Amino acid sequence: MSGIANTLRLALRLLSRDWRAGELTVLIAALVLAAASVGTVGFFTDRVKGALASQANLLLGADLMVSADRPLQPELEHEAQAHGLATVNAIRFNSMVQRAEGKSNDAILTDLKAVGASYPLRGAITLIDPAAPEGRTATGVPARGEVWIDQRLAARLGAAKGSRLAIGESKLTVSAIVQQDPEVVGGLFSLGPRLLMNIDDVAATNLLQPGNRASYRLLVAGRDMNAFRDWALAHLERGQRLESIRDLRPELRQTLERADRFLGLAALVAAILAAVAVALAASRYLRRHLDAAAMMRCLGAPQGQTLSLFAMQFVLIGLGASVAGILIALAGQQLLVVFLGALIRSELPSPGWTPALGATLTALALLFGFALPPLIALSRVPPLRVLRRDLGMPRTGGSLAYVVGAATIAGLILWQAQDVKTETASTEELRKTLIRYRALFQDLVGVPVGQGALQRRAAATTEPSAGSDGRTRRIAIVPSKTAGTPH
Amino acid sequence: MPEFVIRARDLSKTVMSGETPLTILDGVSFEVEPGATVAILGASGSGKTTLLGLLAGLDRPSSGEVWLGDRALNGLSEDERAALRRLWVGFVFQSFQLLPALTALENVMLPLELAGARDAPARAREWLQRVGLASRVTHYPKQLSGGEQQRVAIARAFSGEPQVLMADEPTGNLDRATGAEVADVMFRLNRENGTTLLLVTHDVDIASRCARRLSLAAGKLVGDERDKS
Repeated sequence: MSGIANTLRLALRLLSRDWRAGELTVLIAALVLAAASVGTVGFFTDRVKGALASQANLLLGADLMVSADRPLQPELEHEAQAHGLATVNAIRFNSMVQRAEGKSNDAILTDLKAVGASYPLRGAITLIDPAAPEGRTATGVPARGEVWIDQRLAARLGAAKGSRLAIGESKLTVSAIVQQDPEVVGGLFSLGPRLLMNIDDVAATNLLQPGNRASYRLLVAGRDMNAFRDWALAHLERGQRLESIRDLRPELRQTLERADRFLGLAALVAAILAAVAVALAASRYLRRHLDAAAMMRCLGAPQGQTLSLFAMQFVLIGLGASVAGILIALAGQQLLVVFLGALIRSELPSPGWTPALGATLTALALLFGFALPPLIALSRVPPLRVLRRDLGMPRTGGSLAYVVGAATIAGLILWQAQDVKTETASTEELRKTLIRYRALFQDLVGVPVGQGALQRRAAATTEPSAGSDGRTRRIAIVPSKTAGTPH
Repeated sequence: MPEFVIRARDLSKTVMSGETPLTILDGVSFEVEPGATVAILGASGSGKTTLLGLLAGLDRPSSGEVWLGDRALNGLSEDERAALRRLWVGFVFQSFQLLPALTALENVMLPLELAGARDAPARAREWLQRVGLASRVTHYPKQLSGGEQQRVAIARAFSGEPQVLMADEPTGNLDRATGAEVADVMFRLNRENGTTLLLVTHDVDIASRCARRLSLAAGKLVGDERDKS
């Protein structure tokens, strides 16, 4: 034990002296660069993922949704309630809406959502309130005879609170303007401006005739969805489908994870460049410490102790550089958030520590992948070198050293890419992934109108919920099974 | 205590020089008693340093055998020979071989720390005092003169309290006056500690301070002269 303590003390002493002499500058700078680049990407994507996870249930407005183009069998709701779950029915359909009185007779194709009293089960509807700039959380849903419309419909119709709207054969009163509605999933029906009404008013409109492309929905939420989910899957009828956060998340996560991998691979380019610097610095370190290693061997240090002495120094270098790199990465990702401040609309959670671990492992992998052969060579330096300086350099492992270095790089690439397929992705696949990432990113951020081709490209899956000034848009991420992949 | 501290029997070392074998040592045999002072003399290329390396277990002979005390070095692994050196041998080199990253005190502590000694700083400080460098403990080698560096090296060699001190041209890099001072320190400590001294030199004056002088020429032991007691 005291031997290890002595070796550690000696390692610290040698390290401190090398540090003061500037012997380690290149090595440490390379490792800091690697840890910082990998850490910055890791922290940023971790925060975005965190925001995504916390908002996933809000995107659905429930934990699970059963939908069909025909009314759902009542057994579904009964069974959910029997499992102690909360339920609410909703119907989404498109219809022309116009002012019931006044000057404008323009009819606007509108996305109508008729909901039961307990809607939404997750998240909340935010209404515009002049007294509250952030909006006011709605309690309940529109009363019978009333509707809530979004700002876009209000602008198109020139309607305001108190206006009367003609919806089918009904005339309903606007009682609130919606700022934000949590349920943004369901892109097929999300092309137009939106209107929220009480489900009990639907029959009187006489709009739901055969041929109308209505989506009948049962929203379900509760603690344990598994039993009901299993039951529902076994009892779904033709044309009915079940979506849950579990279904939703893989799609969103896959997109983000792909982006994470590509960003990670980009960071890895920096890490690979750092690897070159590490290799050069390690080679220089070997040359400059040969005499010290030979002297230690001469004074009776066995190979293992000599290796430990230098390996400890490298571990300390690696950990120290990792900490510095992580601190830079924390600042870097925050800088990224600040830089994108105008675009980010969601509050990003604090980053976890997993990216820090990744950054540390990257730095240590690079260090030992490229410095281990020289380290082993140091421990094998012949003690006779103290008498014969002309003995030359000890073998550094020859081709094995290259294999270890190449394996390290390959391992890091695979780790970032997660699978070989992504690593070898074609340019087209990369382009698609980046576009998908862009779309996802836009879901979490507000993008100023007029952002060019990408935004126009994404228009097919865009669900506008513009702010009052019309300057921001929100992109809905639509599961590919309903809307396809935007490319 | 064994009868001999060092024994060499038919020691030979041959290396390849291109395609041609080159014999550096050829059938060298001798024994050294505990506490003896032995100078190994010879011209450059006579095999002195090679012999020292073989006796210390730093190198392996092509043939023949070496014993340190009653341990034969031939059958030992690199690490076993290192362990034996740690217990038995102290070294002083022509080029001092101090670690530039360490202070004088830390250099002297090095063999003690490698051996796991708990009181390394105190012992190292004491040895530096004995070589007259008590005031230079925090100095780095480059801040010391050649003579001071060699005295630090002598303190380091003695700090592990070895049975044998092996010195390879210890005054070779020093001017005559400084060399004489360093030699004085070395012989004094050797006497005080009862250490066996094996001194490789081509300096006849220093060699004459040893009680025994082995002469090498072209790798062969050609002389073994002892002072008359």
